Amino acid sequence: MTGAQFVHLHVHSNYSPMRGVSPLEELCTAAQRQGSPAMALTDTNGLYGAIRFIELAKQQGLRPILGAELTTDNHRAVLLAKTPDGYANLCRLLSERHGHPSFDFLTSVSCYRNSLIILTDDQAALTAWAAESQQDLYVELTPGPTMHEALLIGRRIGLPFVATNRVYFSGPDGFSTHRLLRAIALNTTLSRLPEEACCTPRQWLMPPALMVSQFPHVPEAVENTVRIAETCYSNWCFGETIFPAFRGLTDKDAFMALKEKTYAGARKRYEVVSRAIRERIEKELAIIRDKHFAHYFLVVEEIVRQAPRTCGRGSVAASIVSYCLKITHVDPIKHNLFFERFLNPGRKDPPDIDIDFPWDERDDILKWVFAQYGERQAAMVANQNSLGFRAAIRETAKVYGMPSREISRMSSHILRQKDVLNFPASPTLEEWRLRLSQTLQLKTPWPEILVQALKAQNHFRHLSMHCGGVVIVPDEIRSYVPVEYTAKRLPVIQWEKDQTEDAGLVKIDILGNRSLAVIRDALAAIAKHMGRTINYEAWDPLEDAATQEAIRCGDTIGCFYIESPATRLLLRKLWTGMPPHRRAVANVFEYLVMVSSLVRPATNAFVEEFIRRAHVGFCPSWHPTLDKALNETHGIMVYQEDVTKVAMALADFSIDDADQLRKVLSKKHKAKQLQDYRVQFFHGAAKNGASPETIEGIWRMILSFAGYSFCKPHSASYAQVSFKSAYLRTHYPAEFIAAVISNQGGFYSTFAYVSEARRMGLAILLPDINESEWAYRGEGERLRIGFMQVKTIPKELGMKVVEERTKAGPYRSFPDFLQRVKPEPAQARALVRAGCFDSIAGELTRPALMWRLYAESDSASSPLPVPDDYSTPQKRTHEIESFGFLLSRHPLTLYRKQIERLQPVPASQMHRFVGQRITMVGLLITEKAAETKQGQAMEFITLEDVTALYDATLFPEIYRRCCHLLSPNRPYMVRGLVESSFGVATLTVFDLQLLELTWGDKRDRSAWHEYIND
Amino acid sequence: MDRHIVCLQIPAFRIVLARAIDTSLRDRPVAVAPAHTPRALIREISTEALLEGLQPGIPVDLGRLICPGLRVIPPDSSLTQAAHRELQRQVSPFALTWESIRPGSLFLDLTGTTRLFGPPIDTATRISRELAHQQGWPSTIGLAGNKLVSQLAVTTLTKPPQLLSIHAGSEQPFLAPLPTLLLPGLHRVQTSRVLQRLEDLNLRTLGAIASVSLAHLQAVLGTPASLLHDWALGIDPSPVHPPVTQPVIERSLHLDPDDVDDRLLLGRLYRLLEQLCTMLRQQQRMCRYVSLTVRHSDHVEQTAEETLPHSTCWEADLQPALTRLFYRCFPRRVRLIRLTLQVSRLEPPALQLSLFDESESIALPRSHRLSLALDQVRSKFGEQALSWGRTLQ
Repeated sequence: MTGAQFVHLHVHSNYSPMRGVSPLEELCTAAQRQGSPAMALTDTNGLYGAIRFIELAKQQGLRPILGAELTTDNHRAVLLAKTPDGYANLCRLLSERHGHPSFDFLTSVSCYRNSLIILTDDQAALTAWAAESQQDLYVELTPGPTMHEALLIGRRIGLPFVATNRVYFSGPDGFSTHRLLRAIALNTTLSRLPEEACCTPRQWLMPPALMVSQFPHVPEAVENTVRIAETCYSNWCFGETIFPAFRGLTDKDAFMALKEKTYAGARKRYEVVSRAIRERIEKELAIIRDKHFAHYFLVVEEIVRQAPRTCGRGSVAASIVSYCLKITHVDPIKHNLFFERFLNPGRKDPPDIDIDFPWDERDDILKWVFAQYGERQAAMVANQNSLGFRAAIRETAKVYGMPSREISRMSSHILRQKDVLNFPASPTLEEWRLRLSQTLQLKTPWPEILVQALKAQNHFRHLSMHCGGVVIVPDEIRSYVPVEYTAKRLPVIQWEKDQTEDAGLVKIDILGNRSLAVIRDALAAIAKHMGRTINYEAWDPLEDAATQEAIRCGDTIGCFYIESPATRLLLRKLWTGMPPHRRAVANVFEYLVMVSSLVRPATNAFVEEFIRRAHVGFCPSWHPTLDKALNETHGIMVYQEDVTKVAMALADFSIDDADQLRKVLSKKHKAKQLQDYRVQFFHGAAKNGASPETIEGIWRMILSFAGYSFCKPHSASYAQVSFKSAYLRTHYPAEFIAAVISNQGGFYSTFAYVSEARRMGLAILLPDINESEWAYRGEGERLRIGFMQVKTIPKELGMKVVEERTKAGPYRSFPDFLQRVKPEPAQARALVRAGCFDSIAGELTRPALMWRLYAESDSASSPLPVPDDYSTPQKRTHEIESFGFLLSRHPLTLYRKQIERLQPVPASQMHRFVGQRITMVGLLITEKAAETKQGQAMEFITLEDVTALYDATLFPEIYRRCCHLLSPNRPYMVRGLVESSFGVATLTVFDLQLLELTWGDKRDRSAWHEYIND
Repeated sequence: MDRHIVCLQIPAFRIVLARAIDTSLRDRPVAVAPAHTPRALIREISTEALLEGLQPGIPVDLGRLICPGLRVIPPDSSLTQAAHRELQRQVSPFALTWESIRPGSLFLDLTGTTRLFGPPIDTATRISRELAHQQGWPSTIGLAGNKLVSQLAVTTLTKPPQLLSIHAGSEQPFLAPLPTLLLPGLHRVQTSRVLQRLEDLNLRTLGAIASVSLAHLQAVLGTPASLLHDWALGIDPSPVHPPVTQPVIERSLHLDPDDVDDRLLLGRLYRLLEQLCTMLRQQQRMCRYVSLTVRHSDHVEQTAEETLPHSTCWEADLQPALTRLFYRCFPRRVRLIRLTLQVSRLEPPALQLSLFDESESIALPRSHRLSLALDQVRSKFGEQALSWGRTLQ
């Protein structure tokens, strides 16, 4: 650092929650331009951006110094890591700050100050710490009114000085954004923002010369910045993988244990361990041993063992070791899954094992993990939530006092317009604002709000918990990264998954999956009602003909991952139009694996081509070099690994580069890297003789993997669960649909599932006090509604009703029920209105039961009246209020007169009218918004009438006209043209109207209001 | 003596007033609802909206869903109150006492006015005609022997102008088929439990309630049973309460453009206070009560009031109170479009005259003298001649 005048040792980036303004890139670039050899990052109470900072600083040739500003209500100090041990102490200290409600600032810093350099102007802290040791303790001098006082304190105690500018923004123009962020954080307006809540306008990344000129009276304070920067450790190397340790075993013992378990599992899975299996196992074990991954596999295996039904997702399903350890359940040999996608000798990053557990068992699994490894070794991965553009507009507008309705209106206008302004090059902030203001005719103060919102967007706001990522380390997690606590007191590290991975920490994803619970419950019901026990592990329904046929027909509502309208439509298109000779040889499971991968954003253009090729059965090559790579998927890139294969085959990428390209596609901030790969790809492909059109087309296909996409092992793993769901649906429809509804959270509403059950021929039975259980119950051809569907009935009461009934026999009368269960009057009322007592009421009507519920026992001498029963419309209203929808009949039957007048084509007959304009009616079940290539909004909708579900498309013009009418579960009349694609009929809508009630039906309006409300 | 109680109602009063100002609202579905949240409930609807299937009490979003052409206007209490005062002025020559139900609705007690104005039914018709003629307000009128029956009579009328008179003795046949939902007050949160029970017990009409014994009704409803039973039989002895009014002085300021900056808003407010204090001093009055109403950009209004420790007409006394009121009634982060300052409990100044010539000892405080000087300057050179720095924009 020879020749350096000054180094900034107190710098906040936008990782200082709602305080710091400038992003790390900007700060590093500015520091580099100023000629600084080093810079310290000292975000408030955290190391939220430490890994990114190291990466960016190194890119700019800066020495990265890690630190943090530790603050409490009364004290503050900047702590810089002098050595790696100091870094560990800093992590521990920050963890204490976040973990202990009674955090003692002075004592804690004293305890952990070893290998840390401390800068502060806090008099109490300086006095206390100086009394212990003056080593690495400095008085922080910052230009401003408090500097003189700090100077006096330092001179009195005899401590050295250090100059800082407590930087919150890279340039002087950042102050207004800082104030805005503070106002957002404090929920106030700019005029009410207290002065002490903000920094001063001078706290920007001043050039060294300017900083030096601020301290003519204490030149040593400036010199000390360089000295400290030289002392601090900056050769950070976080990339080394840190694996969890299994039961304190050595690497060798762990490997032997893994090998033993793998072969034991193989004998169970395969019965006979053939040579091919043995070779595959040995090959995988060799890589696992060389990379020291044995501990990791053993830890995951132990976690998986805690639940009988799991589903390994991601590339891990390609591993035979995982299959033998029952981490996954797809045979990688049978389904031709390549282990190299999961692990290969050249792969530098750690493997990633993601496991699905039944959604209601996941929390117990997490508890088990924390019980096993303790908070010392384990913590959850974080999500770093930042201000998105929409949130930035909303929050800024609130600071400017705009009413919420106007905010909603304007933000949706701005968001809709911002992507279609078509700038030739990346616009400046001012150009962008001007164009948008003109296009939307924005009035004051909206242009200003827009500019401020743009500056505030992407600022780190707070941590939340990743949906399932757990990190387990062999020693103490708080020595690697600071740990905070969620509201439920779960420890969570300060890094999100990317920084976690880059820091070498290995993440295990423990995720919740509703379908595994559906399968579990359905299997239990089958065992209970039919006495047939299906062994989940040994169960292989892939060759079941009825299940295969159901999948071919798209009869998959309720089935895991393949129930959405898009997937069902794709399945039907694929199989309906397939010629018989192709159909005879095509493997349903293999195609299901492909379909699972194809249903993702941006694949529309390729899906149709895929179906066409699947029907023909051969694959005209895009380029001869791709024949081998894409042979299995008819020349279309379907799986994530196809990106790697194509880049290697067509453009001569190395395996590392090709794999990196695949990874970059799924990252958020990828523009620059992707541009580099694009150039490399176009150059390589052209060298191999591909035409520019071919290269462009294939690159477009590669880009369709951005966002999210799946590898083949993952799709195979999921397809197997889909197959199991489809098997249950086909053979045990009542038990299956009951489990689907009871576990909730499927793609469709409960109403849609009940309608589907009705179409499947099941009798829908209303809840009954002596028949129902808490959950839905399917048995044979009947589906009994459970108490869970009756609104306001808590689970405890539902369980109590069933328990009491099981213990002391059926309820004989309403008073008998009241006496035995002693419910709250409101709960008994809800059960009466839901008709739960109709079977035991005898002569008493529902209102008569209410009289007996409300009457105080001894207050009336004569017998209580028995009024007439509620009218039919009243009962219908009660039904909608109790269940959220009409259960006893299809809602469209309320519109009998209108339907008779319209004479619509039933959905089940729609395929007979291809090429004709027809009228249909239906309830809106699902909507999927889409955009045309020109950016015009359109929508795919699914409707149902009493006969079937059907799909319809609203192209931009009709969508613009009718979008305000669309609302789930409302009845519509649609007119349109029936079109057929690959033998599947859909409706292109020309006119859409709400099906109106007649005046005679107006009395049912209130019921409808409730219905729609729900 | 037979009582003659008139219930006069101008249906959808706020909408009638809004339509008088904005002609584009005519002949189309209109609803009145707060505009600050889509979850706000509709307070009032026009006949066209009723025909589209809307009801008061449903959320605005649902209303728009049912009726896409619905125009929603925010409530404007100042406009409504002013119009209601005008309504009272119009009816005052015909009734000794009247009682406000809500803006646009009144009870009039016409008992004993037959000799003066003729039969009550003719008087009622005349009032209705004059309101329509002079103000353009179509009204419905119920005439009966008590407040309850006359109000229920009005509720059954849908298309103004209409009048329904229920003669003494015919109350029960009139009431029997009416739904209990129409009973006044049952929609309030405190009484919603009663309404719910009546529905649960299938007592959906007043006739159904009347047919049940009081003992049974008390067993299931408790205390409210007795009153409900009386109402179902058409019994309501409650009198028409005359209005109680207080003189007030009020000043309003419209902010265009709307603003959220405290410093600027307080400046404008202090200027308003100066005008009000000048008026008090000119009228030789003092006030004991001050209230501030702010109206936000989303048309939500908030009022804060304060009783002063002693009556005053000086800015120096009122300013601290006004600052407190401002922060109390402006906790929301939404811009303001109107400030309304009101003083009441007006009193004459209680100055003790001195027996002796002690001009030194009774000299006014400096701040009061400054206010008087400002009054003089402004009366001579105009309102804008001299201003405090903080009141400047």
